[in-house]
Amino acid sequence: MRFHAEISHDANFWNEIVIASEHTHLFHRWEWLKTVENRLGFKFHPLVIYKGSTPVGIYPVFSKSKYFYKFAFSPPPYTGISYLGPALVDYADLKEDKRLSILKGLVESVDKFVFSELGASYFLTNVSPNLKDVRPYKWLNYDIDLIFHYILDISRGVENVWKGFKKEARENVKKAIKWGFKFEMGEPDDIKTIYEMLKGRYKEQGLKMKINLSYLREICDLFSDSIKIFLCRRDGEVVTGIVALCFKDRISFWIGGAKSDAKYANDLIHWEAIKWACENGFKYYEEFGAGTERLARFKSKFNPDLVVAFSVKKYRSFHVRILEGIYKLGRNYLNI
Amino acid sequence: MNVEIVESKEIWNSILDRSSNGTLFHDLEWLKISARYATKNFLGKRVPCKFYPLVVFKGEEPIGALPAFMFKHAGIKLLLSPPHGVENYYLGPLFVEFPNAKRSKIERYFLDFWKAIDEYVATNFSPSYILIHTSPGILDARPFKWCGYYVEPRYTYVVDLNRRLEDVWLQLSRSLRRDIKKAWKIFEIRSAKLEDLSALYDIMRKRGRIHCSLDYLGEIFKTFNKNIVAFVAEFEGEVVSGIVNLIYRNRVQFWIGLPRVDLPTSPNGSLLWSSIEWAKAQGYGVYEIMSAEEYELFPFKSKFNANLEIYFSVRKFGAFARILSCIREVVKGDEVPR
Repeated sequence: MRFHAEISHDANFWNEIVIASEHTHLFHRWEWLKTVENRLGFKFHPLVIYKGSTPVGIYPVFSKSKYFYKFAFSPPPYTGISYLGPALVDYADLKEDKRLSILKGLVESVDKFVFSELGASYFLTNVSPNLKDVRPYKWLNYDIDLIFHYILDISRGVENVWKGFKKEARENVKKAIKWGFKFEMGEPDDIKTIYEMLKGRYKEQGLKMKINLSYLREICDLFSDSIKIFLCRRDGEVVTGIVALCFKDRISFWIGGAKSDAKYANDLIHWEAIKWACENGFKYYEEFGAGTERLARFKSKFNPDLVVAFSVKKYRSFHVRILEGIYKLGRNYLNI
Repeated sequence: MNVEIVESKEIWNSILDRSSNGTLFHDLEWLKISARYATKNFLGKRVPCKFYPLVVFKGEEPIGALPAFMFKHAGIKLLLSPPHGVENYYLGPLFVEFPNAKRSKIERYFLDFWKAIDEYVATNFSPSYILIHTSPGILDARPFKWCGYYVEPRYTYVVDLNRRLEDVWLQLSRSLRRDIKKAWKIFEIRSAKLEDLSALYDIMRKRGRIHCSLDYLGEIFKTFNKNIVAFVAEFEGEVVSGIVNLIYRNRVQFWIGLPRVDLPTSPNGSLLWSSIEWAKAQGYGVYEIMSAEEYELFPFKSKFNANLEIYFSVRKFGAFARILSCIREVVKGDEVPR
């Protein structure tokens, strides 16, 4: 049976798939994706993929034209979206041959949409860590890169999670308490404080903060039930804060936790967020991004499991690959 | 951490025994045989290799190893693991288990281990190109990336045998079960004898499905006869296909065999099923259908509905090789994989 990708503007249908699929996060929610489109100037293509007349999955694609080229993304850059890409329905229940045939059909139909109908020169997808099979992309000549995350199983209870921490992390938490750091839950408005701290940290490192504050505020307002803000104060002053996303049985540390003079405060805030998550029935504490050596060393103190995910990209032609190389050079070394 | 070339079987095997990602290909005897037969086609010339059993010590304690094979020709040096021409899908580093250590410590050790190997290789061999296919079981590929390697996932299929054989059978696709039953009526499936090997080899050679020498296979069979179980399919008294399985630890692996058969019905599904049945009867926990990569073979292999297991292809270019590779991509044109 033939596969085809179709644009759908049925938000309810889209969100039903987001709930049903094992490859989704809060990022896949229709409202989040529309905010990206409205706020950040990317064109959103909400693709539903059908096998015959049966929907088998969704694939949110964004595009933007620049310098005579059209670029397609899932997710687009500077949106704070860690992964997006395809979300399949009933995937885990299928046998491997059916799984592969559906995934292959889905990827091929989206590839055709992006390069033939949309006329894109470049397409990048960061797939869900729950989707381990990227062979259909390989067979279509995509470049595959690895992305790493951490996930901590907190279903075994607060005490066991605490015992699993590296000794250094436990000591740091105790020191933070002794030094008078106080933990509290924040309000959506506190995103501004966390943002400013991150911006300051980026500046210290000679980097620009490219994510937009008004976009973050809108996301926090829109998902106020699913987004939790944790703060750490000393003498009434916020010294650090993190923003976490709650989705299904996991809570994901999203942004914040900028390195500051308040030594040990970040250890405390993660521990308090983990405790809060345990008390509120979550099973997993997810930490996006474990692929940077320095950050991985901090995050691994909590004894999480490593999760491998994939980033896939394809260029229409070799000169687009060269252009990307020049762009990266500018971004990384000239801070353009 | 320091790196040494270690010829001691005792040290090598102590690492292999303590490494959860160890395979039969990592056995020192297997590696030495591979080194004698491995060749690489270099600008029209068959080039042999030199084997370096690199061991990493933390203080006095060996914590990991890399079987490295070096091919040199016309100023170009390739460091491969596994080497070419010996039909190994993967090999790469061995890394011992630290059962009582926390993950952060294990991650640290693995990073230091790989940095030590990378530095040793660069200083002592300065290869133009390094290509390693790790064995399944190494999930933390970050140290490779952090040392400047390109890393890509590769896949193999594993059938969980800790279930009733009936359940494994029902997991097979309906069309495959039908084909297997049909093949039972047409072919005689039996255990292979040593003399069947050359018949199977000839068929595979004709189909372009094998790239090693018969002598190499013969020596592997002789040395590892306790680790090998093979079956052949006969049609009208003639061997038309076969399968060679390797046995190691709790796992039986389809290694080589199953060439295309020019008959209306293929015996290959039933040969693979016979191997699974045998592995289950002998009490093994896992049957591996090696390599789930080839696009041409996936319709057959995926019908066994096995689980995917990931391993990694890890490569690094020297400056000259990087330039050559870029030129190749420009010449080759659009949408080439890296």
